[in-house]
Amino acid sequence: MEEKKVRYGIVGIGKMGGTHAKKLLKGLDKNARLAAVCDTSKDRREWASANLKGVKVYENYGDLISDGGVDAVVVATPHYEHPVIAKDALSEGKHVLIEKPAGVYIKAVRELNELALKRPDQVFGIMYNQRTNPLYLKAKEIIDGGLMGGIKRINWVITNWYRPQAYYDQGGWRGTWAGEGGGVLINQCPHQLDLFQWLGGMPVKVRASVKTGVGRDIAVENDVTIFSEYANGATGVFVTSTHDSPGTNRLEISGDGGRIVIEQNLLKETFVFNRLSVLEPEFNRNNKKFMPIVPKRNQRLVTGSLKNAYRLGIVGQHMNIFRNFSRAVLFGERLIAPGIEGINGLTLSNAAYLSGWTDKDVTIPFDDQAFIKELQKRIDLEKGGRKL
Amino acid sequence: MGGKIRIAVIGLGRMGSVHAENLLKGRVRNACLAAGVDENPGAAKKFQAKARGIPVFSSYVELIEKAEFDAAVIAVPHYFHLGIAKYLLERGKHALIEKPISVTTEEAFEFGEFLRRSDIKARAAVMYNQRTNPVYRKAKELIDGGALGEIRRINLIVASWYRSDAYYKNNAWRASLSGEGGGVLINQCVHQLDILQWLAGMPESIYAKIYTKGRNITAENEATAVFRYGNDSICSFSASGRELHGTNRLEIAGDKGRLVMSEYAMKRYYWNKPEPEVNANTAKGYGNIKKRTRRKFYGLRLIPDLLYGQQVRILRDFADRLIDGGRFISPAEEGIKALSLINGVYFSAWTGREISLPFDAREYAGLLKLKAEKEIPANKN
Repeated sequence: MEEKKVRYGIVGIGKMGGTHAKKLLKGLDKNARLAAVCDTSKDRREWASANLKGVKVYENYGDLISDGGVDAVVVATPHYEHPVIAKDALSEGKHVLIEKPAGVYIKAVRELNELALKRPDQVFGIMYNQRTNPLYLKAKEIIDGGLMGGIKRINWVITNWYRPQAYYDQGGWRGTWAGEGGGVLINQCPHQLDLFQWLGGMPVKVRASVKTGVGRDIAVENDVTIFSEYANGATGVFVTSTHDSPGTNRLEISGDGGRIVIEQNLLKETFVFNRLSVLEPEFNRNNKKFMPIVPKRNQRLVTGSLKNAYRLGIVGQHMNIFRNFSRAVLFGERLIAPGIEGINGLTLSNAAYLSGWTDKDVTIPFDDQAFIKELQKRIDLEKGGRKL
Repeated sequence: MGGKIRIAVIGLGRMGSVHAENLLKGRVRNACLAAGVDENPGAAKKFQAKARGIPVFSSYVELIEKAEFDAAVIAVPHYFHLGIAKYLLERGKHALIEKPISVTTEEAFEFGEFLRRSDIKARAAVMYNQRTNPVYRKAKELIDGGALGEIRRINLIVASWYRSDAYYKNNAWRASLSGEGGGVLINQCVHQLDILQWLAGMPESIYAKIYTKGRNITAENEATAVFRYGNDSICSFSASGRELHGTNRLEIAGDKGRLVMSEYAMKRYYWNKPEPEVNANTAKGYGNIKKRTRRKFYGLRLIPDLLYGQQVRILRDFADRLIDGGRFISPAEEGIKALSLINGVYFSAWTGREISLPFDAREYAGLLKLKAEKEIPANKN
């Protein structure tokens, strides 16, 4: 039944790509088979030859994407290359699954989306694996199901991405403008920025404080606070950093129907929905009391230990995305994380940078070129450089 | 000063009548209720029905002329706080002023000068009752003791003051610039903002946005702000007065640990080494450090608060310190700090600028006056 499996080729077998390769080879997705990998690093290719039995190893991605034995291409290279390789792979007729972020700047990702939309028969996905976390899925279900009514406020404090100087000193592309196009916003936070808009919607306006090198010898940002404003009048705050420890990971969404709080620690994850028995605007209209008693109905829907996390699939989410992607290719299943939605989280992060750099409110959509110009300025200060 | 401190209550509205009752029922050991004052005959009548035999007056001038008392609690709308306070203090009467101490930092600053005058012997305090909450008291002790190391980040969400349209309809002055100089910040969040500065000090700058949503009022019932401190420390602040199930959460993180406070409980996350030391010495890319957690509920200690309100503790402190001459939990001189945060938020939101502290208090007061004059009152009834 070999022909019924999706034959994957992975471009870039560093930390993420290498992990995907091993998992696919282990057969964790029964509808997938790892056919080929590719890496520009000789060390990684030698690692692949030694560890990935029966898998073709390429040096250039051009050879991998034109290989007739590959159906779907996974792009797990440094961020700048994501849209470039994804476009080439789509043009070769392949299905494409890209790692997050979709790219570094919107212009490149928009071109990728335009191409993808012209090729509806090819599946295009993005590795937003945290969308498969049952806690966020539950929140999505509640919001989309209308139990929340209108959203009023969303607040995410995600400061548990602790990275010491040793992390940045590993060298290569980490923590550089030329190498990865930023710091915590582009490397650590794309998941949360995606979920922020997946659950709370896209803002119409953003204001941000973007601080570089707080307590670290780096040129990129590691401390960010974003204010967001939405068309329905809702507001949001997003706080992230890589130098806080012990940090916080707490998402709170407040709406007409109550409040959702999702809090994660290493050993425990909790989801609480404080549901109102009547939507707040209606309550306000009918209330005659000066200081009313609130119609509360607390629902603690999910609470899990690390053991639960495995059982619930909070750990091992990447394979959830692979399984979904393979079924999308084979049976037309709906994607959990369509590739064209990668632009949303990236828009948030680009807008935050632009606001922080210019110290102004940024209205979405904004001028792509203004962002590129500012980014280029920062790249030009680094060794090596890059022309956008 | 022998015997009990005789306290008059000026303003017998919602808060004033609570203070009067606490004094009347003997909940404040070293004080007793001396008189009540309200220009509204209805409120005065209500007071008399409860406080039999205790005189009630229609103005504080009349109170001074006719009553025997040592001190007064001032619980009238904010704009009138300091005018009355000065009148009393100049005549040797002590004053306990409801929060916010004033509407403008300009007036609060002048009041600070006034208190320093050598001829003013009477003393003044402000009703920052949340300073008596066991959670915040413990946090103060920990932070002052260096448990957090250097403070780096604060996240404050105050969405627990739900106010419906019925609340605003009750008094025309509520949530208007002309009536109380602001909305949810100046009336409700002033407590948490005082706690914030009490625990973490004053910021160097403020950037903020304010909003009015879902209510028939002219002042704000939502706000978002960033407070910046020296040394890259930052605070995000969100406030809302229209959320049911609203959050009240203060998180203060330093380089040795983090405190997370709600109204009744506190969690402390920490380890033995400060983060900069870990950072300097670890070779691990992800620097996993074993952390410890302590969790504390203040159930029993909060029961008196829930029964009588924290205001009783401030009243007791006020009376006791007048007797023994010690330092108040919340001296009037500190009233200006939370007010500076609030004025700073409005100033930034109105001008779209990041405001450095201290800012030009006169410029702010001028701007507020202009806005209050232009305000078209919401249709309250």
